[in-house]
Amino acid sequence: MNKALFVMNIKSNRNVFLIFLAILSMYVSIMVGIYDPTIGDPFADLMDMFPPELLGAMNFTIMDGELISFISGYLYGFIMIIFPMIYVIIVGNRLVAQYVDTGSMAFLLSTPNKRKKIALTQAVFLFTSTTILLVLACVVNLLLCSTLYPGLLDINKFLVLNLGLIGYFALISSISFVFSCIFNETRNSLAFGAGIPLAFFIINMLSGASPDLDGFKYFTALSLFEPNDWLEGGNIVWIGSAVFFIGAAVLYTIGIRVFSKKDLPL
Amino acid sequence: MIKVEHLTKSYGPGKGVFDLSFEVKEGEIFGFIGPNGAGKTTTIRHLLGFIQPDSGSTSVNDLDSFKYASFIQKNLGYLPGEIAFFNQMRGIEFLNFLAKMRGMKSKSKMNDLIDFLDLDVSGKIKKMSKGMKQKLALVAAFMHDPEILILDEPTSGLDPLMQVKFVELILKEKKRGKTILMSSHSFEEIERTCDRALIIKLGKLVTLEDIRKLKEQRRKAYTVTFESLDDIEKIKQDGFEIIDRGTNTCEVIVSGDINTFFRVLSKYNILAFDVMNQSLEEIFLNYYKEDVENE
Repeated sequence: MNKALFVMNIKSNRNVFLIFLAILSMYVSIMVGIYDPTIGDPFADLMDMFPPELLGAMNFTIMDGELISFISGYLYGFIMIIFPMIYVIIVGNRLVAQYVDTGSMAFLLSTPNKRKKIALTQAVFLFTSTTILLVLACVVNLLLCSTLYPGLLDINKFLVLNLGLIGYFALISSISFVFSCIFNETRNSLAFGAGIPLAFFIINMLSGASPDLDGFKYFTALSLFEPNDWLEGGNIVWIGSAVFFIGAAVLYTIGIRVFSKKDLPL
Repeated sequence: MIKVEHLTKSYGPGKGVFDLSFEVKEGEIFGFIGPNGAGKTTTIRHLLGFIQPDSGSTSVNDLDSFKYASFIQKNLGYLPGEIAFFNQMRGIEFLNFLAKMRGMKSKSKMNDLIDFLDLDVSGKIKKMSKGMKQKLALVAAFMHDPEILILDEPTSGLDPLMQVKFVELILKEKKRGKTILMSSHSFEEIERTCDRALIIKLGKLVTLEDIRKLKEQRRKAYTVTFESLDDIEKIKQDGFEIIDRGTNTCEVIVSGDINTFFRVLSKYNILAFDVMNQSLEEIFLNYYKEDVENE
């Protein structure tokens, strides 16, 4: 880890971080604010008007009138997936591939720091900043729930749900990172680093849209993070966490190794 | 100090570097001349440890330049040929950032260089002119007072006044015993600073010589206006290479001793005489003529 580089990353990604934090906080506030403990899901009547395929695609499946089901149904199937994903794609691509593509990596590598150290610093930054983004959104959620509906939120279930989200994004960020390390041009890095997370998302939507397309779920890591399954607890929490965190560790390691050995057009 | 041995890195026929060998000795200023795409930057990329050779080796201080890149960087200053900064930074932020990445303790050399190059470091890099960016990169390359300097096209973008200052800087560093490898388009610049120079074309070594010898071999061109067209016909007999324009003004190309040329000229009545600034391209043509004749 190189401290100076880490601080530079904070400075240069501060704005994009704050923008995504603001977006997530806004959605969280709106959804939590709309919840009505007396009638449960205030959208229930509205949702009945939409075709079930669309609701399935958006992952808007609400099990019961509980606050935790409402939050997981309306936030963790769509909003909390798509916006952090865009953050990861932007920052992951920027941290390595963009510096190589523009050539400014030459300045970083003309300092007495091993490539391994530079790549590790970037990996740690991507993982921690993504995790902090999700944790902060989680904190906003907790604070709002405890202020508006004291005692109504099942905190244990909520934390398990967020563990799943953080795990899923550990994997997504490692995918963005590994392609950022493999490719020297941002267009290639983005094709895969953005393409795969997006594909996961879209395939998941398709598999939710119709039972006929259910088989698609084997082609997306997002099927390991079905919010309702995580709320029920059980094996999926262990299996999902293991796949997410081990997968992330492997891909981050591969990224650092590839970057340390490859030819750089600087 | 810097050693390149049988270096080959191919990016297709004529692209890359092929079986290139040379050595830069301690305290020497070594010039690296060649047209665009000749393989200068490819060679430098090897020395910086950015890429690995297909075959052969490159080393700095007897250490493999890829394997020990970060160790070598402690004592090496590098000026990239194509400079890309972190644009959102201010000049001084960039220098302080690199100083931290280097673990630099003293900033006195950095401040001296900023003064010497008359650089305003308070502005955003994005808004800087090409020349200012080049100066900023020069400060970044020299500020940690490295023993070895590798400079890729160091004067591109600098105005003539700054080019003179650059030469001054190089000669000062040479006096302090620094080893410098610099690539250039400008023969003049290499001539003024370097001890030896290597000319490269299509990735292959064309010649590696002392600057003094190179200067002697260098052909000079003059525009001479004779009194009559007949004189031009006569001077052709004297064994000079003449570019005949069909008027009584012609270009005479002189290789080697200039005195012979003047002795011959004194036999004629000359109306006008002018020195032509030979472009690098013409100098290359001279070195590459053999190739062309062989082909």
